Amino acid sequence: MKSAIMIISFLTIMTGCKYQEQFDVLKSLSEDREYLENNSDKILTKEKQIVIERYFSNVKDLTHRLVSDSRFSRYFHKRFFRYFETQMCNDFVLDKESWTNVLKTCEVDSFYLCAEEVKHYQAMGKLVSEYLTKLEEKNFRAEEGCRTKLVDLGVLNEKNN
Amino acid sequence: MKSLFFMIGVFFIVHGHASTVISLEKVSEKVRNSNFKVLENAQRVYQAKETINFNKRNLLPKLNLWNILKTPLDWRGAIDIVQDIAPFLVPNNWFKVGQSRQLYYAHEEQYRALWANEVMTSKLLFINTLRDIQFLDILKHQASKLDELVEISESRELFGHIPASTTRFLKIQLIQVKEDIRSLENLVFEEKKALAYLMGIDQSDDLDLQLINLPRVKDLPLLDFNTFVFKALSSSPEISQYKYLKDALKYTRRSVYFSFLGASSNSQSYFSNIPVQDGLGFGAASSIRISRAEAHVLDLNEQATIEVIKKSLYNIVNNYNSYVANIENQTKRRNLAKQNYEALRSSLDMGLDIKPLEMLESIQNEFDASISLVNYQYGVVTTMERLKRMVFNGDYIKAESKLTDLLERN
Repeated sequence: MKSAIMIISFLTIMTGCKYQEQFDVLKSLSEDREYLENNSDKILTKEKQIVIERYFSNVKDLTHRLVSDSRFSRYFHKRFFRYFETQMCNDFVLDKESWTNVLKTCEVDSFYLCAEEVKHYQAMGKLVSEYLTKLEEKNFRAEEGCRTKLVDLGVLNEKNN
Repeated sequence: MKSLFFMIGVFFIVHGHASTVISLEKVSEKVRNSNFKVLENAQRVYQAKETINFNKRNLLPKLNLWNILKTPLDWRGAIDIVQDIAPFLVPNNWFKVGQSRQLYYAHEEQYRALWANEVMTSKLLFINTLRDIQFLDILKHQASKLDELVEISESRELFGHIPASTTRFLKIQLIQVKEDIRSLENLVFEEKKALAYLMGIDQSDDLDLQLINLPRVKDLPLLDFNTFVFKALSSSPEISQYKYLKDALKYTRRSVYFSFLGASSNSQSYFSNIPVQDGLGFGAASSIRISRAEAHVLDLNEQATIEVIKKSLYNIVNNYNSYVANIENQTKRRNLAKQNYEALRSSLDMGLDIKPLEMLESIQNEFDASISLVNYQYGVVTTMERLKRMVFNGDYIKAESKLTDLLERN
């Protein structure tokens, strides 16, 4: 019995995601993305400010981790095909139209009242794309919705390189 | 010979008092590049960044001749060599790297706060100096009116229409106003020197401040506290520094857990009040409790900072709204006072018997109303500036540490 428990624990440790926290953050983007797409042109409320802050800060934190933490980056490439499902990109990425609408609603009484990250959403996306391998990029292109969003945002080129 | 003296004279006139023209838009750029405090703090941030490299590089083997020489004499000396030849085997050295990275982010946030405060202080001083220059103009205008009144009073005194005491009283008033002009000129002089210091401009330079466009206050909308509170709190570097400090504190706690594998010999800890022993001993539990208490202290400080920001924001919005709501009254007051003075002045021109003291009162009323109106107009500008600083808009836009890091990579 003891050895069975030990084997199960060992397998869990070996097969579990080392960066579960970051993976959970990535998965949590989906809900915020949906809220923002549905409320992109609605006036800026506190609830909307909170969602904007959370979504774009998470995007920033994940991007920062990917580009500045070499261990995380290596792990990301190593386990990409194990954890990444094609529809995930479509779930996480906010489309260009919603993003620009959100940006417009951030101006109230000549003050900009959203997180600074919103302005740099495209730039962050482009930075992530520089860190993708050809194969990973191909995976993103495979799903039509994802491809359209990323091409519109200028994160990926129209043509497949 | 004469022409030589003339040329030398011209040279000294040209180079003796260099004049620097400054606009409000230029202030933030000047502060960023030349303010002494900002420059000093930028060096602190640089030191924090370099500490990450220091701790990273100390994970690599290093040469310590004395430890190597010690080994043949005493085999226990070999253990010391681990710190030298394989420092990466000591977990606490890794924690130092992680901690220094978090402290670097905290330093960056502190720099952002200091930079924004210095920019705001300089801009407010610029605006207040302009306001005082305008006060000076109004005061000089009042002095010329009083001067005129004294002349009228003297001529009336000659004809015996008014007693000598009235003229004397008016002269006293005039001297007082002249004294006010002298004080205000000194204040403007000092403000310009203080502004030059804040912008890192040589004290021998004369500052020439460009006028600003004052807003049409009555057309401005009233503001709501709730619109700004989220942005003020979420963009505040004073608050976000605590996130990084708390993350850095976690590494100190881990150092305590892994102290049995040796303490780090790298740079000193930021949390020097938390004792970390070299080796696992009975003090470890206390160290952990102290670190938890430190986390509680950070939480309390963060909460206090949130409340301070909210308090400031309430005051700013309240002041702003009160200026906007009352500007019409002030404009009306100024117009009525002006009309009153002009009516008395034209009566005087027509030879009607106007008492000099009545005239004096009307000059003072006009002066008070003019000062109050200018004060309102500049008050709105300074309150707007404070609000911009609070929500990091306009000249205060400066991305948070991680975002800055990302943008620099682009």
